[in-house]
Amino acid sequence: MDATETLAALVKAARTGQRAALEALYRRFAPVVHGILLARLQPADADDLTQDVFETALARLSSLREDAAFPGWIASIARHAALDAARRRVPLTGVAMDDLTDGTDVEAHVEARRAMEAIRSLPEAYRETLLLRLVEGLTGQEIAERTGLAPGSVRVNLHRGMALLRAALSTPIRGAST
Amino acid sequence: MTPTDDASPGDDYLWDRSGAIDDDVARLERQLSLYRWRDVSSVRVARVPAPAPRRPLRARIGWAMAATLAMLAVGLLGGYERRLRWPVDQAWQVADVAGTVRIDGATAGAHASFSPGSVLETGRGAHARVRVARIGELVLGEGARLRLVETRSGRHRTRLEHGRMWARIWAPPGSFGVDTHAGEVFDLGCEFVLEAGQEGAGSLTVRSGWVQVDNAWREVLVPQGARVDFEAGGRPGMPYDLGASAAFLSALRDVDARVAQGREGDTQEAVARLLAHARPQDAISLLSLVQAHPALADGPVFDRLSSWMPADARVTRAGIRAQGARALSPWWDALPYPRIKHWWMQWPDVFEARADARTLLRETPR
Repeated sequence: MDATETLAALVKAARTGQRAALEALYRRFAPVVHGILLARLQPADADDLTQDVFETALARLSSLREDAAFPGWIASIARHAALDAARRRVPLTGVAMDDLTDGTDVEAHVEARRAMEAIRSLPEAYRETLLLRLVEGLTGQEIAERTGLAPGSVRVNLHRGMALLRAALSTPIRGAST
Repeated sequence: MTPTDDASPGDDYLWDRSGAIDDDVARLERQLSLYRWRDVSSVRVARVPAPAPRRPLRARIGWAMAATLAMLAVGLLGGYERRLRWPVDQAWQVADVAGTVRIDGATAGAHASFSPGSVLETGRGAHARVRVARIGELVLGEGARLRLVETRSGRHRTRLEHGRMWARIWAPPGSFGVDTHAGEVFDLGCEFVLEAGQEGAGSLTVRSGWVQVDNAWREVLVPQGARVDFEAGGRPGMPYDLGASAAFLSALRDVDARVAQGREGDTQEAVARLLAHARPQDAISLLSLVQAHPALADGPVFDRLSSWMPADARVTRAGIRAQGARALSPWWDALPYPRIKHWWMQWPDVFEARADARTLLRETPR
Protein backbone atom coordinates (compact mmCIF):
# COMPACT_ATOMS: atom_id res chain seq x y z
CA MET A 1 0.00 0.00 0.00
CA ASP A 2 1.57 3.36 -0.99
CA ALA A 3 1.42 6.59 0.99
CA THR A 4 -1.62 7.83 -0.94
CA GLU A 5 -3.57 4.66 -0.25
CA THR A 6 -2.58 4.74 3.43
CA LEU A 7 -3.69 8.34 3.73
CA ALA A 8 -6.95 7.62 1.94
CA ALA A 9 -7.62 4.75 4.35
CA LEU A 10 -6.87 7.02 7.26
CA VAL A 11 -9.23 9.71 6.03
CA LYS A 12 -11.91 7.11 5.37
CA ALA A 13 -11.59 5.86 8.94
CA ALA A 14 -11.64 9.43 10.26
CA ARG A 15 -14.91 10.03 8.44
CA THR A 16 -16.48 7.37 10.63
CA GLY A 17 -15.18 9.16 13.71
CA GLN A 18 -12.46 6.68 14.63
CA ARG A 19 -10.40 8.43 17.26
CA ALA A 20 -7.12 6.73 16.30
CA ALA A 21 -7.47 7.88 12.71
CA LEU A 22 -8.24 11.43 13.78
CA GLU A 23 -5.16 11.47 16.02
CA ALA A 24 -2.98 10.06 13.24
CA LEU A 25 -4.15 12.72 10.82
CA TYR A 26 -3.51 15.38 13.42
CA ARG A 27 0.02 14.16 14.15
CA ARG A 28 0.85 13.96 10.48
CA PHE A 29 -0.67 17.24 9.30
CA ALA A 30 -0.37 19.57 12.32
CA PRO A 31 3.20 20.56 11.30
CA VAL A 32 1.97 21.33 7.78
CA VAL A 33 -0.88 23.48 9.05
CA HIS A 34 1.46 25.18 11.52
CA GLY A 35 4.04 25.88 8.80
CA ILE A 36 1.43 27.39 6.49
CA LEU A 37 0.13 29.60 9.31
CA LEU A 38 3.65 30.57 10.27
CA ALA A 39 4.23 31.88 6.75
CA ARG A 40 1.56 34.53 7.37
CA LEU A 41 1.14 34.97 11.12
CA GLN A 42 3.15 35.56 14.25
CA PRO A 43 4.46 32.29 15.76
CA ALA A 44 2.26 32.51 18.83
CA ASP A 45 -0.82 33.06 16.70
CA ALA A 46 0.17 30.19 14.43
CA ASP A 47 0.46 27.93 17.49
CA ASP A 48 -3.00 28.90 18.70
CA LEU A 49 -4.66 28.64 15.32
CA THR A 50 -3.29 25.20 14.38
CA GLN A 51 -5.73 23.39 16.67
CA ASP A 52 -8.60 25.56 15.45
CA VAL A 53 -7.86 24.74 11.84
CA PHE A 54 -7.95 21.03 12.64
CA GLU A 55 -11.15 21.33 14.57
CA THR A 56 -12.77 23.12 11.65
CA ALA A 57 -11.41 20.71 9.06
CA LEU A 58 -12.44 17.56 10.87
CA ALA A 59 -15.91 18.92 11.47
CA ARG A 60 -16.19 19.55 7.73
CA LEU A 61 -14.67 16.25 6.70
CA SER A 62 -17.92 15.09 5.11
CA SER A 63 -17.58 17.84 2.50
CA LEU A 64 -14.28 16.39 1.26
CA ARG A 65 -15.08 14.56 -1.98
CA GLU A 66 -11.99 12.42 -2.41
CA ASP A 67 -10.14 10.96 0.55
CA ALA A 68 -6.81 11.22 -1.28
CA ALA A 69 -7.30 14.98 -1.74
CA PHE A 70 -7.03 15.59 2.01
CA PRO A 71 -3.53 17.21 1.92
CA GLY A 72 -4.43 19.95 -0.55
CA TRP A 73 -7.78 20.41 1.15
CA ILE A 74 -6.44 20.98 4.66
CA ALA A 75 -3.63 23.19 3.32
CA SER A 76 -6.28 25.34 1.67
CA ILE A 77 -8.26 25.57 4.92
CA ALA A 78 -5.08 26.62 6.76
CA ARG A 79 -4.35 29.36 4.20
CA HIS A 80 -7.87 30.74 4.49
CA ALA A 81 -7.67 30.66 8.28
CA ALA A 82 -4.37 32.56 8.13
CA LEU A 83 -5.87 35.17 5.85
CA ASP A 84 -8.87 35.62 8.17
CA ALA A 85 -6.58 36.01 11.15
CA ALA A 86 -4.27 38.42 9.32
CA ARG A 87 -7.24 40.62 8.43
CA ARG A 88 -7.91 41.08 12.11
CA ARG A 89 -4.44 42.71 12.27
CA VAL A 90 -4.21 42.53 16.07
CA PRO A 91 -2.30 39.38 17.08
CA LEU A 92 -4.69 36.82 18.45
CA THR A 93 -2.73 36.38 21.65
CA GLY A 94 -1.01 39.75 21.78
CA VAL A 95 2.28 37.89 22.12
CA ALA A 96 4.99 39.27 19.83
CA MET A 97 8.05 37.41 18.58
CA ASP A 98 10.27 39.28 21.04
CA ASP A 99 8.38 37.75 23.91
CA LEU A 100 9.43 34.22 23.01
CA THR A 101 11.68 32.97 25.73
CA ASP A 102 12.16 29.35 26.56
CA GLY A 103 15.61 29.37 28.05
CA THR A 104 17.58 29.58 24.86
CA ASP A 105 20.16 32.34 24.67
CA VAL A 106 19.29 35.75 23.39
CA GLU A 107 21.70 35.56 20.44
CA ALA A 108 20.02 32.43 19.16
CA HIS A 109 16.67 34.17 19.43
CA VAL A 110 17.94 37.13 17.50
CA GLU A 111 19.36 34.92 14.77
CA ALA A 112 16.16 32.91 14.61
CA ARG A 113 14.08 36.03 14.39
CA ARG A 114 16.28 37.41 11.63
CA ALA A 115 16.02 34.17 9.64
CA MET A 116 12.27 34.12 10.12
CA GLU A 117 11.92 37.71 8.97
CA ALA A 118 14.03 36.91 5.92
CA ILE A 119 11.86 33.91 5.02
CA ARG A 120 8.66 35.90 5.50
CA SER A 121 9.99 38.47 3.04
CA LEU A 122 10.21 35.83 0.29
CA PRO A 123 7.49 35.13 -2.28
CA GLU A 124 4.68 33.03 -0.82
CA ALA A 125 5.47 29.81 -2.67
CA TYR A 126 9.04 29.76 -1.39
CA ARG A 127 8.03 30.98 2.06
CA GLU A 128 5.69 28.09 2.80
CA THR A 129 8.00 25.42 1.43
CA LEU A 130 11.06 26.70 3.27
CA LEU A 131 9.20 26.98 6.57
CA LEU A 132 7.98 23.40 6.25
CA ARG A 133 11.51 22.26 5.54
CA LEU A 134 13.57 24.45 7.91
CA VAL A 135 11.11 25.00 10.76
CA GLU A 136 8.93 21.91 10.75
CA GLY A 137 11.77 19.63 9.68
CA LEU A 138 9.88 17.87 6.87
CA THR A 139 11.79 16.46 3.92
CA GLY A 140 10.98 17.55 0.39
CA GLN A 141 9.09 14.31 -0.23
CA GLU A 142 7.05 14.74 2.96
CA ILE A 143 6.20 18.32 1.99
CA ALA A 144 4.95 17.11 -1.38
CA GLU A 145 2.86 14.33 0.17
CA ARG A 146 1.34 16.53 2.85
CA THR A 147 0.52 19.62 0.81
CA GLY A 148 -0.60 18.01 -2.41
CA LEU A 149 2.18 19.72 -4.39
CA ALA A 150 4.18 17.83 -7.01
CA PRO A 151 7.61 16.73 -5.74
CA GLY A 152 9.23 18.57 -8.65
CA SER A 153 7.54 21.82 -7.63
CA VAL A 154 8.63 21.38 -4.04
CA ARG A 155 12.21 20.73 -5.15
CA VAL A 156 12.28 23.85 -7.30
CA ASN A 157 10.65 25.96 -4.58
CA LEU A 158 13.22 24.76 -2.04
CA HIS A 159 16.11 25.40 -4.38
CA ARG A 160 15.04 28.86 -5.46
CA GLY A 161 13.76 29.85 -2.03
CA MET A 162 16.97 28.77 -0.35
CA ALA A 163 19.04 30.73 -2.88
CA LEU A 164 16.96 33.85 -2.21
CA LEU A 165 17.21 33.26 1.53
CA ARG A 166 20.98 32.94 1.39
CA ALA A 167 21.09 36.22 -0.54
CA ALA A 168 18.79 37.93 1.96
CA LEU A 169 20.77 36.73 4.96
CA SER A 170 24.08 37.81 3.44
CA THR A 171 22.82 41.40 3.40
CA PRO A 172 23.58 43.30 6.67
CA ILE A 173 20.53 44.14 8.72
CA ARG A 174 19.60 47.74 8.21
CA GLY A 175 20.71 49.80 11.21
CA ALA A 176 22.87 47.04 12.72
CA SER A 177 26.50 47.77 13.61
CA THR A 178 29.14 45.91 11.55
CA MET B 1 24.54 33.92 -3.83
CA THR B 2 22.37 34.07 -6.87
CA PRO B 3 19.24 31.99 -7.30
CA THR B 4 19.21 29.58 -10.22
CA ASP B 5 16.22 27.92 -11.81
CA ASP B 6 17.35 24.32 -11.61
CA ALA B 7 17.67 22.16 -8.58
CA SER B 8 21.12 20.60 -8.44
CA PRO B 9 22.55 17.43 -6.85
CA GLY B 10 24.09 19.74 -4.25
CA ASP B 11 20.56 20.29 -2.96
CA ASP B 12 20.29 16.73 -1.61
CA TYR B 13 20.73 17.88 1.94
CA LEU B 14 18.14 20.60 1.44
CA TRP B 15 15.81 17.99 -0.07
CA ASP B 16 16.03 15.20 2.50
CA ARG B 17 19.17 15.68 4.58
CA SER B 18 21.08 13.17 2.50
CA GLY B 19 24.45 13.87 0.90
CA ALA B 20 26.94 16.39 2.15
CA ILE B 21 25.72 18.67 4.91
CA ASP B 22 24.88 22.14 3.72
CA ASP B 23 26.10 24.37 6.55
CA ASP B 24 23.66 27.19 5.83
CA VAL B 25 20.72 24.84 5.81
CA ALA B 26 21.85 23.01 8.93
CA ARG B 27 22.35 26.29 10.81
CA LEU B 28 18.93 27.56 9.77
CA GLU B 29 17.35 24.26 10.87
CA ARG B 30 18.90 24.68 14.29
CA GLN B 31 17.94 28.32 14.66
CA LEU B 32 14.41 27.99 13.37
CA SER B 33 13.60 24.88 15.38
CA LEU B 34 12.56 27.36 18.05
CA TYR B 35 9.36 27.90 16.10
CA ARG B 36 8.64 24.25 15.33
CA TRP B 37 5.23 22.83 16.12
CA ARG B 38 5.59 21.05 19.43
CA ASP B 39 2.06 20.60 20.58
CA VAL B 40 1.74 17.06 21.87
CA SER B 41 -1.84 17.33 23.00
CA SER B 42 -4.56 15.33 21.36
CA VAL B 43 -6.61 16.72 18.58
CA ARG B 44 -9.65 18.65 19.70
CA VAL B 45 -12.72 17.56 17.88
CA ALA B 46 -15.80 19.47 18.92
CA ARG B 47 -17.99 16.94 17.20
CA VAL B 48 -16.91 13.68 15.71
CA PRO B 49 -17.77 14.09 12.05
CA ALA B 50 -20.73 12.08 10.98
CA PRO B 51 -20.08 9.50 8.33
CA ALA B 52 -20.02 11.14 4.96
CA PRO B 53 -23.49 11.60 3.56
CA ARG B 54 -22.29 10.32 0.20
CA ARG B 55 -24.34 7.46 -1.02
CA PRO B 56 -22.58 4.20 -1.72
CA LEU B 57 -21.60 3.67 -5.34
CA ARG B 58 -24.23 0.97 -5.80
CA ALA B 59 -26.96 3.28 -4.51
CA ARG B 60 -25.76 6.08 -6.76
CA ILE B 61 -25.79 3.74 -9.75
CA GLY B 62 -29.27 2.63 -8.71
CA TRP B 63 -30.51 6.20 -8.55
CA ALA B 64 -28.90 7.01 -11.89
CA MET B 65 -30.58 3.99 -13.47
CA ALA B 66 -33.91 4.87 -11.90
CA ALA B 67 -33.62 8.43 -13.23
CA THR B 68 -32.72 7.12 -16.67
CA LEU B 69 -35.63 4.69 -16.64
CA ALA B 70 -37.99 7.43 -15.49
CA MET B 71 -36.88 9.67 -18.35
CA LEU B 72 -37.21 6.75 -20.73
CA ALA B 73 -40.70 6.02 -19.44
CA VAL B 74 -41.73 9.65 -19.87
CA GLY B 75 -40.31 9.62 -23.40
CA LEU B 76 -42.08 6.36 -24.25
CA LEU B 77 -45.36 7.60 -22.83
CA GLY B 78 -45.09 10.77 -24.88
CA GLY B 79 -44.26 8.76 -27.98
CA TYR B 80 -47.15 6.38 -27.30
CA GLU B 81 -49.68 9.19 -26.91
CA ARG B 82 -48.42 10.85 -30.06
CA ARG B 83 -48.65 7.53 -31.89
CA LEU B 84 -52.34 7.16 -31.11
CA ARG B 85 -53.37 10.79 -31.62
CA TRP B 86 -54.85 11.57 -35.05
CA PRO B 87 -57.12 14.47 -36.08
CA VAL B 88 -60.60 13.57 -37.31
CA ASP B 89 -60.65 12.80 -41.05
CA GLN B 90 -56.99 13.60 -41.53
CA ALA B 91 -55.60 11.83 -44.58
CA TRP B 92 -53.14 8.96 -44.40
CA GLN B 93 -49.92 9.10 -46.33
CA VAL B 94 -48.88 6.82 -49.16
CA ALA B 95 -45.32 5.73 -48.44
CA ASP B 96 -44.42 3.90 -51.63
CA VAL B 97 -46.00 2.70 -54.86
CA ALA B 98 -44.96 0.33 -57.64
CA GLY B 99 -46.83 -0.01 -60.91
CA THR B 100 -50.12 1.69 -61.62
CA VAL B 101 -51.72 3.03 -58.47
CA ARG B 102 -54.70 5.36 -58.52
CA ILE B 103 -56.53 7.34 -55.89
CA ASP B 104 -60.04 8.31 -56.96
CA GLY B 105 -59.04 7.53 -60.53
CA ALA B 106 -55.98 9.78 -60.59
CA THR B 107 -52.49 8.37 -60.72
CA ALA B 108 -50.93 8.42 -57.27
CA GLY B 109 -47.24 8.44 -56.50
CA ALA B 110 -45.27 7.98 -53.34
CA HIS B 111 -46.19 10.51 -50.62
CA ALA B 112 -49.69 11.02 -52.03
CA SER B 113 -52.44 11.71 -49.52
CA PHE B 114 -55.15 9.14 -48.99
CA SER B 115 -58.18 10.87 -47.53
CA PRO B 116 -61.36 9.45 -45.97
CA GLY B 117 -63.89 8.77 -48.72
CA SER B 118 -61.17 8.14 -51.30
CA VAL B 119 -60.57 4.85 -53.09
CA LEU B 120 -57.11 3.44 -53.66
CA GLU B 121 -56.75 1.00 -56.55
CA THR B 122 -53.78 -1.00 -57.71
CA GLY B 123 -53.29 -2.29 -61.24
CA ARG B 124 -51.86 -5.56 -62.46
CA GLY B 125 -48.46 -6.22 -60.86
CA ALA B 126 -48.77 -3.05 -58.79
CA HIS B 127 -48.79 -2.46 -55.07
CA ALA B 128 -49.03 0.47 -52.68
CA ARG B 129 -47.60 0.93 -49.22
CA VAL B 130 -49.61 3.20 -46.95
CA ARG B 131 -48.99 4.53 -43.44
CA VAL B 132 -51.98 3.82 -41.20
CA ALA B 133 -51.98 7.18 -39.40
CA ARG B 134 -49.13 6.69 -36.93
CA ILE B 135 -50.26 3.29 -35.63
CA GLY B 136 -48.93 1.05 -38.38
CA GLU B 137 -48.80 0.41 -42.08
CA LEU B 138 -50.49 -1.62 -44.78
CA VAL B 139 -49.54 -2.91 -48.18
CA LEU B 140 -52.17 -3.34 -50.87
CA GLY B 141 -51.37 -6.01 -53.43
CA GLU B 142 -52.13 -6.03 -57.15
CA GLY B 143 -55.64 -5.69 -58.46
CA ALA B 144 -56.98 -4.47 -55.15
CA ARG B 145 -59.47 -1.78 -54.24
CA LEU B 146 -59.47 -0.15 -50.81
CA ARG B 147 -61.72 2.63 -49.56
CA LEU B 148 -60.70 4.74 -46.59
CA VAL B 149 -63.86 5.17 -44.55
CA GLU B 150 -62.89 6.98 -41.38
CA THR B 151 -59.83 8.27 -39.56
CA ARG B 152 -59.53 9.63 -36.04
CA SER B 153 -57.75 8.84 -32.81
CA GLY B 154 -58.51 5.27 -31.77
CA ARG B 155 -60.66 4.51 -34.84
CA HIS B 156 -59.40 3.97 -38.37
CA ARG B 157 -61.75 2.14 -40.72
CA THR B 158 -61.34 0.91 -44.29
CA ARG B 159 -63.26 -1.28 -46.70
CA LEU B 160 -61.41 -3.80 -48.82
CA GLU B 161 -63.65 -4.35 -51.85
CA HIS B 162 -61.34 -6.99 -53.23
CA GLY B 163 -57.70 -7.96 -53.34
CA ARG B 164 -54.99 -8.86 -50.90
CA MET B 165 -53.83 -6.65 -48.07
CA TRP B 166 -51.09 -6.99 -45.49
CA ALA B 167 -51.27 -4.84 -42.35
CA ARG B 168 -49.20 -4.43 -39.23
CA ILE B 169 -50.69 -2.41 -36.40
CA TRP B 170 -49.40 -1.61 -32.93
CA ALA B 171 -52.23 0.06 -31.07
CA PRO B 172 -54.99 -0.88 -28.61
CA PRO B 173 -57.45 -3.53 -29.89
CA GLY B 174 -60.00 -2.24 -32.36
CA SER B 175 -58.03 0.80 -33.47
CA PHE B 176 -57.91 -0.50 -37.04
CA GLY B 177 -60.72 -2.22 -38.88
CA VAL B 178 -61.32 -3.54 -42.38
CA ASP B 179 -64.79 -4.13 -43.72
CA THR B 180 -65.14 -6.84 -46.38
CA HIS B 181 -67.93 -8.75 -48.04
CA ALA B 182 -67.24 -11.44 -45.47
CA GLY B 183 -67.68 -9.15 -42.49
CA GLU B 184 -65.56 -6.82 -40.42
CA VAL B 185 -62.00 -7.60 -39.47
CA PHE B 186 -60.61 -5.87 -36.38
CA ASP B 187 -57.01 -5.87 -35.37
CA LEU B 188 -56.33 -6.79 -31.77
CA GLY B 189 -52.71 -5.67 -31.89
CA CYS B 190 -51.29 -7.68 -34.75
CA GLU B 191 -49.92 -8.37 -38.19
CA PHE B 192 -52.12 -10.13 -40.72
CA VAL B 193 -52.80 -10.80 -44.39
CA LEU B 194 -56.38 -10.47 -45.62
CA GLU B 195 -57.60 -11.81 -48.94
CA ALA B 196 -61.03 -10.60 -49.99
CA GLY B 197 -63.02 -11.73 -53.01
CA GLN B 198 -65.90 -9.78 -54.49
CA GLU B 199 -68.28 -12.61 -53.64
CA GLY B 200 -67.17 -12.78 -50.03
CA ALA B 201 -64.77 -15.70 -50.33
CA GLY B 202 -61.31 -15.15 -48.96
CA SER B 203 -59.05 -15.83 -46.02
CA LEU B 204 -57.37 -14.16 -43.09
CA THR B 205 -53.92 -15.26 -41.93
CA VAL B 206 -52.57 -13.85 -38.69
CA ARG B 207 -48.82 -13.50 -38.23
CA SER B 208 -48.73 -11.89 -34.80
CA GLY B 209 -51.24 -11.09 -32.07
CA TRP B 210 -54.95 -11.71 -32.62
CA VAL B 211 -57.53 -10.62 -35.15
CA GLN B 212 -61.26 -10.66 -34.65
CA VAL B 213 -63.79 -11.28 -37.42
CA ASP B 214 -67.40 -10.21 -36.96
CA ASN B 215 -70.19 -10.97 -39.37
CA ALA B 216 -73.76 -12.07 -39.46
CA TRP B 217 -72.84 -15.66 -38.74
CA ARG B 218 -70.44 -15.52 -35.86
CA GLU B 219 -67.52 -13.87 -34.17
CA VAL B 220 -64.22 -15.58 -34.82
CA LEU B 221 -60.96 -14.99 -32.99
CA VAL B 222 -57.86 -15.88 -34.96
CA PRO B 223 -54.50 -16.05 -33.16
CA GLN B 224 -51.04 -15.76 -34.63
CA GLY B 225 -49.98 -18.72 -36.72
CA ALA B 226 -53.60 -19.47 -37.63
CA ARG B 227 -55.96 -18.83 -40.52
CA VAL B 228 -59.65 -18.64 -41.16
CA ASP B 229 -61.26 -19.11 -44.59
CA PHE B 230 -64.44 -17.45 -45.81
CA GLU B 231 -66.85 -19.24 -48.07
CA ALA B 232 -68.47 -17.50 -50.99
CA GLY B 233 -71.13 -15.35 -49.39
CA GLY B 234 -68.80 -14.52 -46.54
CA ARG B 235 -69.54 -17.25 -44.04
CA PRO B 236 -66.37 -17.74 -41.98
CA GLY B 237 -65.14 -21.20 -41.21
CA MET B 238 -63.30 -22.28 -38.06
CA PRO B 239 -59.81 -20.88 -37.43
CA TYR B 240 -57.08 -23.44 -37.78
CA ASP B 241 -53.40 -23.74 -37.06
CA LEU B 242 -51.29 -23.41 -40.21
CA GLY B 243 -49.75 -26.80 -39.43
CA ALA B 244 -53.08 -28.61 -39.38
CA SER B 245 -53.39 -31.62 -41.70
CA ALA B 246 -55.71 -31.67 -44.69
CA ALA B 247 -57.66 -34.54 -43.10
CA PHE B 248 -58.19 -32.52 -39.95
CA LEU B 249 -59.37 -29.50 -41.95
CA SER B 250 -61.74 -31.63 -44.00
CA ALA B 251 -63.26 -33.10 -40.84
CA LEU B 252 -63.42 -29.63 -39.23
CA ARG B 253 -65.44 -28.25 -42.15
CA ASP B 254 -67.73 -31.27 -42.11
CA VAL B 255 -68.50 -30.98 -38.42
CA ASP B 256 -69.06 -27.23 -38.66
CA ALA B 257 -71.30 -27.57 -41.70
CA ARG B 258 -73.39 -30.42 -40.28
CA VAL B 259 -74.03 -28.64 -36.99
CA ALA B 260 -74.82 -25.42 -38.86
CA GLN B 261 -77.37 -27.36 -40.90
CA GLY B 262 -79.00 -28.66 -37.74
CA ARG B 263 -77.60 -32.17 -38.22
CA GLU B 264 -76.01 -32.48 -34.75
CA GLY B 265 -76.98 -36.13 -34.64
CA ASP B 266 -75.03 -36.76 -37.79
CA THR B 267 -71.64 -35.60 -36.60
CA GLN B 268 -70.24 -38.68 -34.88
CA GLU B 269 -68.26 -39.93 -37.81
CA ALA B 270 -66.90 -36.49 -38.68
CA VAL B 271 -66.04 -35.81 -35.03
CA ALA B 272 -64.22 -39.14 -34.87
CA ARG B 273 -62.18 -38.20 -37.93
CA LEU B 274 -61.56 -34.77 -36.49
CA LEU B 275 -60.16 -36.12 -33.23
CA ALA B 276 -58.18 -38.80 -35.01
CA HIS B 277 -56.17 -36.13 -36.76
CA ALA B 278 -56.14 -33.49 -34.03
CA ARG B 279 -52.91 -32.29 -32.47
CA PRO B 280 -52.60 -30.14 -29.34
CA GLN B 281 -51.84 -27.21 -31.67
CA ASP B 282 -55.35 -27.67 -33.06
CA ALA B 283 -56.93 -26.69 -29.77
CA ILE B 284 -57.86 -23.31 -31.27
CA SER B 285 -60.07 -25.11 -33.80
CA LEU B 286 -61.77 -27.42 -31.31
CA LEU B 287 -62.33 -24.60 -28.85
CA SER B 288 -63.77 -22.35 -31.58
CA LEU B 289 -66.02 -25.23 -32.61
CA VAL B 290 -67.38 -25.64 -29.09
CA GLN B 291 -67.66 -21.86 -28.77
CA ALA B 292 -69.84 -21.76 -31.89
CA HIS B 293 -71.73 -24.99 -31.08
CA PRO B 294 -71.81 -25.52 -27.29
CA ALA B 295 -73.81 -28.72 -27.80
CA LEU B 296 -70.61 -30.40 -29.00
CA ALA B 297 -69.33 -30.16 -25.41
CA ASP B 298 -71.50 -33.17 -24.59
CA GLY B 299 -69.35 -35.34 -26.82
CA PRO B 300 -65.69 -36.36 -27.08
CA VAL B 301 -64.51 -32.93 -28.31
CA PHE B 302 -64.85 -31.69 -24.73
CA ASP B 303 -62.84 -34.63 -23.38
CA ARG B 304 -60.03 -34.00 -25.87
CA LEU B 305 -59.86 -30.34 -24.99
CA SER B 306 -59.89 -31.20 -21.28
CA SER B 307 -56.91 -33.49 -21.78
CA TRP B 308 -54.91 -30.69 -23.42
CA MET B 309 -55.78 -27.85 -21.10
CA PRO B 310 -53.96 -27.20 -17.84
CA ALA B 311 -55.62 -28.54 -14.70
CA ASP B 312 -56.22 -25.09 -13.27
CA ALA B 313 -58.20 -24.00 -16.34
CA ARG B 314 -61.41 -25.52 -15.03
CA VAL B 315 -64.27 -25.82 -17.49
CA THR B 316 -67.12 -28.24 -16.86
CA ARG B 317 -69.91 -29.59 -19.05
CA ALA B 318 -72.37 -28.43 -16.43
CA GLY B 319 -70.90 -24.94 -16.66
CA ILE B 320 -71.27 -24.90 -20.44
CA ARG B 321 -74.85 -26.13 -20.21
CA ALA B 322 -75.64 -23.42 -17.69
CA GLN B 323 -73.70 -20.49 -19.15
CA GLY B 324 -73.09 -21.49 -22.75
CA ALA B 325 -69.89 -20.35 -24.44
CA ARG B 326 -69.08 -17.91 -21.60
CA ALA B 327 -68.03 -20.87 -19.48
CA LEU B 328 -65.13 -21.50 -21.86
CA SER B 329 -63.16 -18.44 -20.80
CA PRO B 330 -60.59 -20.36 -18.70
CA TRP B 331 -59.68 -22.42 -21.76
CA TRP B 332 -59.36 -19.35 -23.97
CA ASP B 333 -57.03 -17.85 -21.40
CA ALA B 334 -55.01 -21.06 -21.31
CA LEU B 335 -54.31 -21.19 -25.03
CA PRO B 336 -50.61 -20.78 -25.82
CA TYR B 337 -50.92 -17.42 -27.59
CA PRO B 338 -50.27 -13.85 -26.49
CA ARG B 339 -53.07 -12.50 -24.33
CA ILE B 340 -55.27 -9.98 -26.14
CA LYS B 341 -55.09 -7.72 -23.09
CA HIS B 342 -51.33 -7.77 -23.48
CA TRP B 343 -51.42 -6.55 -27.08
CA TRP B 344 -48.60 -4.12 -26.33
CA MET B 345 -46.32 -7.10 -25.80
CA GLN B 346 -46.18 -7.37 -29.60
CA TRP B 347 -43.83 -4.40 -29.46
CA PRO B 348 -41.76 -5.50 -32.48
CA ASP B 349 -44.83 -4.47 -34.50
CA VAL B 350 -43.97 -0.87 -33.64
CA PHE B 351 -41.28 -0.88 -36.27
CA GLU B 352 -41.81 -0.64 -39.98
CA ALA B 353 -41.46 -3.91 -41.84
CA ARG B 354 -38.21 -4.14 -43.75
CA ALA B 355 -39.36 -6.82 -46.13
CA ASP B 356 -40.52 -5.83 -49.60
CA ALA B 357 -44.20 -5.72 -50.50
CA ARG B 358 -44.20 -9.07 -52.33
CA THR B 359 -42.72 -10.85 -49.34
CA LEU B 360 -45.22 -9.29 -46.96
CA LEU B 361 -48.17 -10.24 -49.17
CA ARG B 362 -46.97 -13.76 -49.82
CA GLU B 363 -49.33 -16.54 -48.82
CA THR B 364 -48.09 -18.21 -45.65
CA PRO B 365 -47.75 -21.90 -46.55
CA ARG B 366 -49.58 -24.47 -44.50
